[in-house]
Amino acid sequence: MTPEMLQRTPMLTEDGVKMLERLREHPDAPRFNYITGDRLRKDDLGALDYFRQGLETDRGARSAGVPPPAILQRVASWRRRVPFVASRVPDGLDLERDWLSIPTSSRADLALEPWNFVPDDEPLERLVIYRTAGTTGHPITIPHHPMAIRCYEPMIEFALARHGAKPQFDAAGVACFLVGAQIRTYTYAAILSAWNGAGFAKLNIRQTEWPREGSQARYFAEMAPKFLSGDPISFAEMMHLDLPAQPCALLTTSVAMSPVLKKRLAEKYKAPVIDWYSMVETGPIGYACPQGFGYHLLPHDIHLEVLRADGTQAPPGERGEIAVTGGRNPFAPLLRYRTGDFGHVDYAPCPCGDPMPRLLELEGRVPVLIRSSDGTPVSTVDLSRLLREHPLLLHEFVQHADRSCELTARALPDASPDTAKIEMDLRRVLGTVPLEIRFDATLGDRQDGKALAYRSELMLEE
Amino acid sequence: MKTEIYFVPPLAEFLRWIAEMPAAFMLEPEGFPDGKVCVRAVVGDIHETLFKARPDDPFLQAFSAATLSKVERNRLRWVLAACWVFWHPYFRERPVDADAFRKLLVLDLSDLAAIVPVENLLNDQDRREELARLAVATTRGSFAGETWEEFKDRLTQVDSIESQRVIAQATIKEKKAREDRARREREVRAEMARKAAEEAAAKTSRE
Repeated sequence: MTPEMLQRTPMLTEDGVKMLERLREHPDAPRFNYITGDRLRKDDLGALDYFRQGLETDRGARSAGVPPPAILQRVASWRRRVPFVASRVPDGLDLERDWLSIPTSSRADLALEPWNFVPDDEPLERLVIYRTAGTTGHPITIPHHPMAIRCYEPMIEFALARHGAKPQFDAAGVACFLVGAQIRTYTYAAILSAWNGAGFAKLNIRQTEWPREGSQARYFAEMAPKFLSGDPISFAEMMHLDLPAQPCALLTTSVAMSPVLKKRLAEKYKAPVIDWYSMVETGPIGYACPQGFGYHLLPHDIHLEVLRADGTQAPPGERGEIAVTGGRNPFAPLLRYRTGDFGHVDYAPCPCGDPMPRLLELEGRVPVLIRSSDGTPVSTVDLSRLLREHPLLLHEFVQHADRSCELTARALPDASPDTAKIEMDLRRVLGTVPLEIRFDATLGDRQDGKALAYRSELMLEE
Repeated sequence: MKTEIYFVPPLAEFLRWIAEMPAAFMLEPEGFPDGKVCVRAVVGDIHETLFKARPDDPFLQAFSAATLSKVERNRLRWVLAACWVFWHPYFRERPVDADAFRKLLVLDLSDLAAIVPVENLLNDQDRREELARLAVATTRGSFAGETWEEFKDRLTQVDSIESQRVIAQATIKEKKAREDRARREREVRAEMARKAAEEAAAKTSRE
């Protein structure tokens, strides 16, 4: 057990070391291209348990309008500590009385000056960096905290349990595979101390990542993950490859899953398929109601609002842009943050019994099919990865029915993106499709600071 | 038998008194180009009137122009204005504390003159009130309807020196806050750049 291993996984045990070896050294193991750990410390466990408990006990009916007192109290503390919030909330403003007059914030705010979201007194030692996948906008850099990431585990437990899945995790078993099917993505094996040292792996199931034909199937069968997480495109590919698994649930996120695919997956893997609404900036926001009545607000420390295009709050039942306040990332506290996703909120009691409000008609993360000139599917995540190497603030990419593509981009302030280099990068995955690139300095200014990153006129096959 | 009760006129009376200051008290002090008023003589007169004695020479010396600077000219004109205030009949009925009088004319007005042009007496009611309160304070009297504590509180509010001190402190504080903010921003940006090149933490689901 090396110091580096303990830095990545501070609560690593001998059993954990064996699990890592098993995941990495198996004859059919994929070629992992990244090393990381859960970064959970022993002294985090109390806070994690407190959060887990709050998920159960702090659920209750919510109302539109002003956030509950606990969230207001946190916003009050940000006024003194967070430069961005201090600049948005004038001294004389009463948070409860004047909530609706507080300006909303957007991805552009976070993209341009993320450091202004970091509280003045927050130690930086544990800061980690994530980049958004760019599913609904140009990828941005988010300062994050490992504890906020570890809170995913209790939220997954909660969502799974609501769908009747209660896996038991231990150091001898693999808790989860995060399944991806992309041209390139980080892949790694890790240990999750919050789940009793169970194993975890982030995988790319494309054949090029594996040592030989059939490795994926043998690896899946051998490791027998308790549940799977992924996105519709990856799960569809997993089904296509006929990978064997007996998960207690499939947690699907990133983009909306079609009912047909959901039904097929549930039948094949004999497990519930749970839709999950999450963003890097906020972490998980909602999980699909087990009775099919939309997405319930999952964490108790987030306040939801639905906003009209002019920034005013829409009344319950009216569709608008979803905005969130709160969350648990100490390095990016969010204040009326416009997500770029659209829907409406129902505050009425749900037959399923969860008293938390529900997001209905959630829209904004529709799976987008892009194809290269030879017809190969191209993931929007791969396109985002290429584009984020260029100094762009936002972009809109459209593929027309004849496969011709248009990229409209807004450059970062004072930056001069290299159009030829962008085209060259895009052609690496798109091939010889007709491609037009142009720049628009006002992209995203229309209402919300977020552009619709990808759109395709091609038909999505299941 | 004379009753030792002194009636202090209301503030409004002193404000009026100062507003109606004769032009002679606003003339150029002797020693400056076109100087017409011997400030030392004016101070000597008011001293004799209030204390029935001629002041000592070192004291009077303080009211000759030490330099030909704008600040010195302003100081002497403030002294002239103060003399006019002490010319109010009230100060001949109520004993004026001699030490307080000397301190006001020599030190306090010097500080005031360093930051406030005497012309402000013409268009700034707070400056008139400040001068009236400084003068009345030498008698430890307070205006009708005010306790001594209230009198002092209000004097602090209109005190130019105090205001200047508060503004200076606020400026220093603001500058420090700006510097702290810039330092913190550099620190966070550097840490973000450093951590961007490092591993994050394992994440069990996609967004």
